[in-house]
Amino acid sequence: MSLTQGEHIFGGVHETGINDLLRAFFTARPRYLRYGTPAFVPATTVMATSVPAPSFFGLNIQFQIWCDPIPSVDITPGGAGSAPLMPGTNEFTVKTNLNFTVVINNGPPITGSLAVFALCRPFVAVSTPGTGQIGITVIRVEIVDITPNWLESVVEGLVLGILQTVLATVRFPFNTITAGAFGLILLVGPTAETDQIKVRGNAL
Amino acid sequence: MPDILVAADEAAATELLHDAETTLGTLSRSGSRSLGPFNVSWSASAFLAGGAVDLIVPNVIRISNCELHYNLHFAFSFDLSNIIPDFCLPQICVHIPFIGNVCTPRICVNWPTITIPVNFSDVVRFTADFTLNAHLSGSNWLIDAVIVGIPNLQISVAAAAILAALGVAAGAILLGIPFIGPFLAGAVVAITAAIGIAGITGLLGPILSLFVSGLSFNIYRQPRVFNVLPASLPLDPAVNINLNSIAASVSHTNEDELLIAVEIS
Repeated sequence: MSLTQGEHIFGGVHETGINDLLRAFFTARPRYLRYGTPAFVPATTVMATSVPAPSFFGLNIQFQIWCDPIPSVDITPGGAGSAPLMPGTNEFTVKTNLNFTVVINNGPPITGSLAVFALCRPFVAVSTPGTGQIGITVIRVEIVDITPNWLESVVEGLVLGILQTVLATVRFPFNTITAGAFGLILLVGPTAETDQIKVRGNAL
Repeated sequence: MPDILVAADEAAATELLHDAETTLGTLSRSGSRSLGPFNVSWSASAFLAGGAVDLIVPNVIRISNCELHYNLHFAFSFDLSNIIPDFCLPQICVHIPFIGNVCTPRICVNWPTITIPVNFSDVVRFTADFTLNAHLSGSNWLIDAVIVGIPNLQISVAAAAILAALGVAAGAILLGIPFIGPFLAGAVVAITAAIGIAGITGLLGPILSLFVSGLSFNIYRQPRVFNVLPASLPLDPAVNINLNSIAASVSHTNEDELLIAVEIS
């Protein structure tokens, strides 16, 4: 079966290529990996994004969260490393560690790190022919080894929001998926399969 | 599996080629040579258009009926004395009583060197194979389709047309030469016979071959440092990746496809 099938153009990015793109994106724009309240990040810079401190029963809660290592993907079919949250049809797993430091009422800092798996799908963020972009939708999060289960669910709910914020900023332009060879009119995809994000369409 | 794999079927490859033809634009050449008693200086411009693409494994693009649109200007220079012998008008003498013999002056006609301009435009179609060549040139990755050999150009009809145009142009130029009247028709015939179809073919073929010999279409050009996202907000710098290697080939499954494989970092 041809790559283009019923269309004229095919573009496919292998998961190794997606990881290179994620590394390039978050290296250039590290503030999308690191978020902190004013005690940690007084103002948004290239390196970190300042977020307001939450209001919770009058407590002064200051925190800093950051993803390290840079998130990486495992596109379906998943490998052994994605066992906690295997990607299914048209899905891929994003893996990273969510590191945090929390200070409550100026007490001693509480630090930790969670190994996070996120189940994701690609979607068309911008559909304009030639200049469209592919984005990432986070469907579900899995954190290993938190007990009891209800606490794990609470934490996963919070982490889902964090990862949705982190990954919402990531965009893969059509032009990148075709390595600049063609302006793409997207007709099919994006689909996640055989370790690739694939698109098909016609030349602009 | 490469980091990025792009495939284009023959329809998309045809569009790519036609865009490359347009980008190549109009080419110009000029030169001169001798053609028997004639000195010929010429200038030519040409552009390429059209053609049907057939992708052939492992890395060939066959372009059928590619059109070479050309515009030629010739200037044929020669000494007319080489065609028509110089001659002298006979002296006529009359006897005038009481004066004696009075004769007309001796007038000799020494034919000039003339230049005959000829303009000609036409289209010649050819079929040729091109191989794909991906390479780094300076800071840019290029994929060129480079012609294999020199295609055979069918120019016999054009050569005949040029020869006919030469005859017409010669007649117009010669008409302005004093004393040419009785010799005009013969001179035109002599000029076209002296050059002949073979001469024009021998002149036209090498000129047009200059435009197809080594012909190369650029079908891909991207900087090695490839911009993924431009800088947007003041706090969001541009996102770039490195194109570390590019390879171009043709694959065949249930259809033929042009493949571009890219490794990035």
